[in-house]
Amino acid sequence: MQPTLKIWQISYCEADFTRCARFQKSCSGETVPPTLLPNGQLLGKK
Amino acid sequence: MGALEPSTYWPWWLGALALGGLSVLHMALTGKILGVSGAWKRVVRWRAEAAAVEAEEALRTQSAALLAELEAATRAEFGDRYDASAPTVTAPVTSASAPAAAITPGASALFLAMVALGGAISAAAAGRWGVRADLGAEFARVVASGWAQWPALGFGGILVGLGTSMAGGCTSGHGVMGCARLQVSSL
Repeated sequence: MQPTLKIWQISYCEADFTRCARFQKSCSGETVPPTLLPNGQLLGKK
Repeated sequence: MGALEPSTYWPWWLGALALGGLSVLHMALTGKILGVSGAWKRVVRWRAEAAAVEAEEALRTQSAALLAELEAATRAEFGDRYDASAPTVTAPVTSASAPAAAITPGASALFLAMVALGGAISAAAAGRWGVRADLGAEFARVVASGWAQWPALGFGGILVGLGTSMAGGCTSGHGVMGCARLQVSSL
């Protein structure tokens, strides 16, 4: 994995994963879109 | 069963006030619950904790570059399957972006050292301070005596470590803080 992506993994998966927006959405029972980033931002079409 | 020995420890109400006051103070100063097993975990996992702190700092200081990398990797993985109604990058839709200040492994190590020091001071003040080679008559009666008490103690310690790790806390985290906050898992 690229070191820059590893930073995201460490911060939102291995450390306090409860603050990950994707984790929060999955806990609510909703489908997690691939466009949802861990910090809550959404990606759209370019 | 023999009669209980007179207690030489603090009165129950004084101990409760001290422990409760410390717990409230800890929460007020750090925003985190007081937990001995949590402190041990931070000390044992100090490398992972240090990596998490570095990652958090990188996300704070290089957010634009790291976001661009993640965006590029996400587009590379999932192609063009996006919601056309969504803007390119929107404001955060959850409260996911601002973590509470972490307690460092160094601070946790200091806390644990102070716990031991506090116990030593309390024992000295009560005239009970001294190096012992046994764990007391009650331990010998219930668990083991002689040389066998030490592996028994070590095995008990392993069980405590496993149990607190599985339960996500110990008597301080769950018993004091969790129950006081009416956390279901602690109750």
